[in-house]
Amino acid sequence: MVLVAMQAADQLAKEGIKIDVVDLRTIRPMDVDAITTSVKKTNRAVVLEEGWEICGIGAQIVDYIQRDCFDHLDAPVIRVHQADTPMPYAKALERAAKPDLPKTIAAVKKVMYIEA
Amino acid sequence: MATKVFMEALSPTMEEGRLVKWLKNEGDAVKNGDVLAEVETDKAVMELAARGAGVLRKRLVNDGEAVPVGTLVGVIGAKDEDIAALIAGSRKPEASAAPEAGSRKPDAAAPVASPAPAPATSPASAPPALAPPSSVSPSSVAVPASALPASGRALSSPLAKKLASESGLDLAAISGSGPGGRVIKRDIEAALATGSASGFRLPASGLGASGLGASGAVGDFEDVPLTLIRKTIARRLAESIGPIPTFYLTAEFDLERASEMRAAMAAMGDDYKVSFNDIILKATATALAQHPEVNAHWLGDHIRRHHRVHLGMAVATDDGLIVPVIFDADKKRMSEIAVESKVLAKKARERKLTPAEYTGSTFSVSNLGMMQIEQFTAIINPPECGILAIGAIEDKPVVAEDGSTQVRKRLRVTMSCDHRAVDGAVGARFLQTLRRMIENPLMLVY
Repeated sequence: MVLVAMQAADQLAKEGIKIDVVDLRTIRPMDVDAITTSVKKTNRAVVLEEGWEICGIGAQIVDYIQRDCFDHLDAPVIRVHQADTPMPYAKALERAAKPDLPKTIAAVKKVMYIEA
Repeated sequence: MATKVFMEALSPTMEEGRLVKWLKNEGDAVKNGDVLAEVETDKAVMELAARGAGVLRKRLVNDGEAVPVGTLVGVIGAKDEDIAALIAGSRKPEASAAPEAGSRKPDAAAPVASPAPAPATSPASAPPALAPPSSVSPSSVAVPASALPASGRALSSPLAKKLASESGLDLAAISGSGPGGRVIKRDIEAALATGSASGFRLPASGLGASGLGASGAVGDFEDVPLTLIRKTIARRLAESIGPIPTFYLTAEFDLERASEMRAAMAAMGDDYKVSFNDIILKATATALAQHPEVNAHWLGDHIRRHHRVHLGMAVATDDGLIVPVIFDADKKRMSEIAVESKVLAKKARERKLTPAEYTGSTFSVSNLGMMQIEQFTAIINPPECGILAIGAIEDKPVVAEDGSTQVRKRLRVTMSCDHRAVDGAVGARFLQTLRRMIENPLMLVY
């Protein structure tokens, strides 16, 4: 997913939107400081993960953000994740179910209050 | 069909009303036009009438509570009607209810008229299988603007709220560009950049709010909460002394003849008794009819000279000052003025004046003579351009024309003039006319 994030950053940079990409690398210990430092700088966050929405690591990350950065948020935190369904076997459906570049870019624009 | 009961604007300047007392209980049958409650406006205690028939199902405001105009205060409906949805949106003044209460039709208050302020259905409540195919969480960004309450609490992001409080901006005064009118960081920045934030206010210091909450006597002092009328007086008078360039003209009138006239009339019987105040009111009204340049309103971009003289007379009440109006005072006989001023003063003290009785004055008179004030200056009641301050009538030694010293009844009046409309000489000429009237009261019948 870091790859998708970097592609999104490159593409949005062309539109004048600068993005911090925080690559967590580990979830235990989780580098919460890196997350909150970035959110306090940008006042918004998109959490991108290859996994289901419910009980996902992303949910935990959003929890840290709302707790530590409440007064710094200018938009709701948006998550980009895998569709809420068992992973399909058909390649095309699998691709559609997974988080990808267009979904990530749409989410970033949403937290930037930019009409897609 | 249930009918919402709103706090209505019962006077032209009313912004909030205190529900003094409910006259109907929950469950009481009401007809259209029935008086539901007594409401204290900024000027008087008025009646809040039902605009629908049925049963008073719910009272949402307690006796003694003050709420802004447009607030839902109750619901009238059929006995078994479900009114939960109506009540859910209470406590949010609805913009549409504010201005003209009189012309509002009962249907306008029907429940469907306002957007249901209930929050848009939360995604969480939908079964997982129905989740949109997109894997982007349908978080609150997707809430359509129309689903959010149009007024009430200012929607804002936490960051915007913090920035606003740091820079002393009033969030409510900023229009939000986010979904549903949410105020976000860029709106605050824009407001700061253009200085368009009309809502500059002092950052909330704990003192103001907590001080009020703990109202009551604490030994050395007593905190008195502001009544609505007191708030209005403060606002109106500050408005006056600030932008109005006022100057003052003082003159001393001889009241010997007026006093003789009054004594002669009183000798004819109680029916003919008039007070000095009545003579002064009559003389002022007559003089104003001859000086329309003083009988005027300053309206910002123009001056309106009135051809009719509607004389306001300041009356002290227990709650403060109110200025009932004697309409067409110049055309009324002194006896009519005497009766009317008495009735108005009595109504003012009992707070029974209707808005029609205290609005529309073209010039005002304030009399503190009965309090032994020799002379004072009154504050102009905008948009009027002048006010006459009447002092006490006193016996004073005066050097007469033949050089002898006599003790005569004298009266000091001070006229406050709005210099934007009334120049010194104009005001002085008016006082000359007034002097002629008061010193030669027979002029009043001329």
